[in-house]
Amino acid sequence: MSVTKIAIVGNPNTGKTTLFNLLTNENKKTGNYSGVTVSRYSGFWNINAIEKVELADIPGCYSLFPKSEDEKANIEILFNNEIKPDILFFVADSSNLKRSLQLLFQWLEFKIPTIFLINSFSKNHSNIDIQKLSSYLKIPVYLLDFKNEKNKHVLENEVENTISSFQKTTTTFLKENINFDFCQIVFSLNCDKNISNNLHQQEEIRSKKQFFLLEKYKLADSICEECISNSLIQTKNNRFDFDKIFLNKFLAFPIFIFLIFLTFQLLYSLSQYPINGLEFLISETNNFLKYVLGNGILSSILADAIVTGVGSVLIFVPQIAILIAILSFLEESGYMARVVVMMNKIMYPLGLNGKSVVPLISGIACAIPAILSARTIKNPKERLLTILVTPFMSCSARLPVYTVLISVVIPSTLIFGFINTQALVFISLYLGSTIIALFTAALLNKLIKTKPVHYSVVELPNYRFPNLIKVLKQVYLQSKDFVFGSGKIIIAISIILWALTYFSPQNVSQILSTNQSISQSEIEVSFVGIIGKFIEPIFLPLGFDWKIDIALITSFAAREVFVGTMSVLYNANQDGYISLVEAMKNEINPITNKPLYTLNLGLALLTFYMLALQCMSTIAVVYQETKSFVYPLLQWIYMSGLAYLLAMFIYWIPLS
Amino acid sequence: MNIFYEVTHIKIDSLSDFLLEMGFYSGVSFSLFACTPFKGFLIIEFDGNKIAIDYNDAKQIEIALINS
Repeated sequence: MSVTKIAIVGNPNTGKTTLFNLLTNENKKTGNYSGVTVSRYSGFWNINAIEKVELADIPGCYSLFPKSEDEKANIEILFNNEIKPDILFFVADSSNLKRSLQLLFQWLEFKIPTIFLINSFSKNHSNIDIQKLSSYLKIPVYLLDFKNEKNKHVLENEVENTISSFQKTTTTFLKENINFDFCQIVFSLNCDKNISNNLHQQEEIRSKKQFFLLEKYKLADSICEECISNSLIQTKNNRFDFDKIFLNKFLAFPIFIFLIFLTFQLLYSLSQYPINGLEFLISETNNFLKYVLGNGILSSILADAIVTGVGSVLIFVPQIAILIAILSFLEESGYMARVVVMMNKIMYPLGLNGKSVVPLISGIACAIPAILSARTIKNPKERLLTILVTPFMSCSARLPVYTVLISVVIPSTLIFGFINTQALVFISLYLGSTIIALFTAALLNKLIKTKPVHYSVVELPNYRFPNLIKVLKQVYLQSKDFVFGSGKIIIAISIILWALTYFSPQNVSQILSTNQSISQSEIEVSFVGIIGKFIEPIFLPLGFDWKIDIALITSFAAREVFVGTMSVLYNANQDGYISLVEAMKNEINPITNKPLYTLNLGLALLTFYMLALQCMSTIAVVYQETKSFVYPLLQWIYMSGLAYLLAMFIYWIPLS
Repeated sequence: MNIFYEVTHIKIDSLSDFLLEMGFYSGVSFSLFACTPFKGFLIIEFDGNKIAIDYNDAKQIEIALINS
C-alpha cells in the first residue's frame, strides 16, 4: 500500500485542525485565536483500500518567512525531503480570502500539487465565485463546511484524481514582473546561515521579498475584485462589534476581573454537589467490597488501596471539567485574543509579552500544553521567561490538593452574605501564584540581558458563539486524560503504599494485621513509617509530619497523587471508609494533643503546593523547549526553594 | 461614520515586514477602530480584518487622513 503525504497549511485560525480532525477522526484541540496548533502532528486518513494518506496538520503562518518557533514547521516541510508533502491542502477562511491568497501564491511557487479549501464556517461565502476563482488560480478550489462528514467524500475523490494524474501546479500566470526565483529567497532567508554575515546581500534579498509580496497583493486584490462581490464586506461592517464593550477603556478590565471571579465562584459552588455524590459512591463501594470479600489481603488491596486511592482523586473530576468548560468557552468565543491586547502593557515591563497571557491562562488547566503554546511568542527572551514562569500557575492537578486542604482548615462562612470564605481562599491561591509568576518574570527580566526587539501585533478574530458540542468534547477529552493519565500512576502508587503500610521489616512475609484496620503504632513501624520518619527532619521546620512527607514524595510524580496517598495512609487505621477531609480534621498532634491541621499548617502546606515544581512532565517539557538542562534544573531549585522558605515563614507567623 | 487613513511609511523594518505579511502595507487604507482605541494599542480595521498594534510601535507608522 502506497503512502501519500498531505500537509494542511494556511493562515492561523482558518480551521486547519478542524479539517484534520474531520479526516483522521482525531480530536486535536481547536480554538478561535491564532496559535492553537504549535507543532506539526500527523495522522492517517484511509481513503480506500489502496490509498493510505498521511495527513500532517501544520501550524498557521502569515508568510513563508516565519517569525516564531511554531511557524518554522512550514519551512521544515518544504526543505526536509522526509516530510515534504506530495499534496497540499491550502485552507482559507471565507471571510479572509485576500490575505490567504497572498500566502497561497507563496506556496504555489514550490510547485507542489495544491487543493484550495475554503472553510465556510463564517457563513460569509455566498458571494464567492468558486469556479471563477479556480480558473484564475488553475488549481481545484472547494468551499466546504469542515464539520460536515459528507465533505470527506468530496475530498477523497479529489485526492484520488490528483494522485492518479499527479498534475503539477502551473504558476506561470504568477510570474509576470518577477525575474527571480522566489523559492531561492525563501531558502536564503530561512536556511542559509552565511546570509546573516552579509548585510548587502541581506538587503537585496529583503527588497526582492518585499517586491514579490506587493506584486502578489496586487494580484490578490484583482482576483478578489473579480471573484467576490462587495456585499461580503458590507455584511462584515454591519455586524455589532462586541469590542466596543470588551475592549472599552473603562469596561475592559472590570469585565475581565468579573469573569475571573465568576469562574472561580462557579468552580467552587457548582462542583460541591457532584463531589458529595461521588464521595458517597466511593464510600459505599469501599464498604461493599469489604462486606463481599471479607477480611483479607485482596479485600484490603481493592478497598483500602485502589478504591480509596483512585476514588479520592476521581471526586475532583467535576471541578476539573467545569474549569476546562469555562476555559474552552473563552477560547472558542474569540475573547482570548482580546485579553492578549489588554495585558500587553502590563506584561511588557515584566519582560513578558501580551501573548504570554495565553500560556499563563492555559497553565490553569495544565502547564504542559501551556508551555508549548509559548512557541507563538516571537521574541526569544519573552518566550523563555514565559516558559520559566508558566509552571507557577495553579494547574488542575493542584486543584484537588487545594480543595482538600481548604476544607480541612478554612471554615465555610459567608462574607457580605454571598462570598464564601473557602472560595475566597481558593481565588487567593490562584491570584498568589499569578503574582509570584509575574514577580519572578520581572526578576529574570533584570538578570537576562538580550537585545530588546519588541513589537506586538495581534490579530483579533471575529467573535462567535462557542460551539457547545466542541466545548463538551474538550471537557470529555481533558477529563479523560486526567483520569487515565493520573489514574495509572495513582493505582501503582496506592498499591505500593498499601504494601509499605501493611508490611514491616520485622515481618516482611506477613501482613501486619489481618483485620480491616491497623493501629497507628503498627503504621509507624511499617516500611512507610520508617521512610517517613527518616525524611521527617527535612520538613519539620514547616510543621509537616511524616505522613505529609510521604505524600510530598509520591506527589512528585503528579501533584494530585497527594490526595490519593493521604487517603490510603489515613484510611489504613480506620474501621470503615472515612473521607480524607474528616480523617485529616480528626488527626491529633501527639506532642500538643490538639488537632494537627492548624490554620498555620494548612496554609503552609497550601503555599508549598502552590509554588513547588512537583511535576516530572513539566520538567521534561521545559527541557524540550529550552534544549538545556540548566533551565529546568534552576527552575526546580528556585520554585522548590521558594516554596520551602515561604511555607516555613507562614507556619511560624502567629495567625490564631 | 468610519474615518479612513492611509499608511504612508512604516519606520521599523521588521514591523513593516510583519505587517506587510498580514496585508497591511504602505498605500493601504484602513479605518481606526470605531470606539476609542484601547489604551496602549492602536486597533485598526482593514479588509474586514481587525488587528491591534502596540502603541509604542504604532507611533512608528506614519499615517495620513485620506477622507472622512
